[in-house]
Amino acid sequence: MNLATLDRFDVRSANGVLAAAALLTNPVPFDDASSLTNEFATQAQELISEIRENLNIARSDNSPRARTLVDKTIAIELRNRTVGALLDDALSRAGQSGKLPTSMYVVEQPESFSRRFQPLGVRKGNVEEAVRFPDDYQHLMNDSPLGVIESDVISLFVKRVEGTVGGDFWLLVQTHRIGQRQVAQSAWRIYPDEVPLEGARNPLDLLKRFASVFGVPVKARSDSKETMFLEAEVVPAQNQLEIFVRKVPDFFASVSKVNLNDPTKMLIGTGYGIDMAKYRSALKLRGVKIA
Amino acid sequence: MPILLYSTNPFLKYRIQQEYRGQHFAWCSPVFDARVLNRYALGADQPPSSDPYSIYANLHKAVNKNDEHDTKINEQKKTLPAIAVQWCNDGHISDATRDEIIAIVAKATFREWRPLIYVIPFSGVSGRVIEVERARRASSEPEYIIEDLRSSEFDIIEPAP
Repeated sequence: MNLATLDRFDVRSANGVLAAAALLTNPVPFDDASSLTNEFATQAQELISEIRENLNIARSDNSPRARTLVDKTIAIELRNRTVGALLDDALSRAGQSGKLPTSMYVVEQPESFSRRFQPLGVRKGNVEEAVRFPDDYQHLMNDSPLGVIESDVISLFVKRVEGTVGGDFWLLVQTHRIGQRQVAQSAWRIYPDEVPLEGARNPLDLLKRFASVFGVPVKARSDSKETMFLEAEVVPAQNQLEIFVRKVPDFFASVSKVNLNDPTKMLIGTGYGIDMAKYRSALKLRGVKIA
Repeated sequence: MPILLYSTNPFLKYRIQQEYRGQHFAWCSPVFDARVLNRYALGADQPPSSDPYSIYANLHKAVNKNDEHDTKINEQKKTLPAIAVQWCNDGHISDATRDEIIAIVAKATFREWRPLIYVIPFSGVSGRVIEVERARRASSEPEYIIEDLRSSEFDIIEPAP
């Protein structure tokens, strides 16, 4: 919409006038609206009149329909004059830093994930549900304490699932967080009578407890000490980061890392290995159908 | 003084304030549902526009029915971006962060506008509660504002859909 009232302002002030108009048109002032409405009160009233005129709303018309029309126009103008065509970029930034509501992420379940985890009693719908509407979640490596300049980061999502066979369990889904996308990497059934959960405070604790039962020892470098779970360990930079998993016939290994300002080093966020044969046997013992 | 204060807010408003500022602006009432109070009790005349239960019920209904003309949701769709512009102009957030908030609001689905009920123990915030002057209230019943409510100072109730 062409709004002549805003033409005489620079971009910042024009946004301020629009925002003040948004706040002044609220019937109940339920939000903190002091500085802008004080600064731009007159101009905002002028703008509101212009918008109403453009929309052919009579001066006396304060009906909900008229208010909604004005509200929608202001919202669209605010969006177009700020983020505009870069909306997707802004959403990707919010997604990467873990600030997007979980329900707004796009969940992807690649073929490699489905092939590995669906035969272990994981349903596609449960994974989608766990990521978008979790009981608890944690975005790891969403800040940059060590001067991170690019990232390869994960998120964890937990959802309680009523199991028809084998009892209720927590489904723990690990994803690779890429902008607005959450790409599934693993999905584990965690049974409270099998994995000691007392004192676990967040999804990462849950993953560590799970690894303590079903994991295989790992280490960050060939010469370092073995552990069941690698966390926040700085290692020399490598093109293809690998962790060293003590060999078992069938294992799942996960390592997440971020690059650092110092190009000779990188930070391992988390790293662990799961003994798939042991995990599969435990599921079988419960009566879970294993393909 | 009341023991508890109540406030109903859309999930997305909660989420944006929590993620980007770490504190919440809350307009509160000392009663949750004026309809069930004794006729002469304090707060019994709280009108629907300020009554947390009524706000909850109306917003819940609008979200469940995907009502694109709901006035409360449309108010919030313009108010949250406006608040982001204000935070940016006041120097609390960068232009890029302002744009993130505006983009999130623009892309939000009805589910993100679902109502949450804040239950705020009065004793923890008593020094920061502002009594709303009569001209800004919907009735003669008391209403309060807390400008910097922290997440540790209240519980959130989200009744099952």
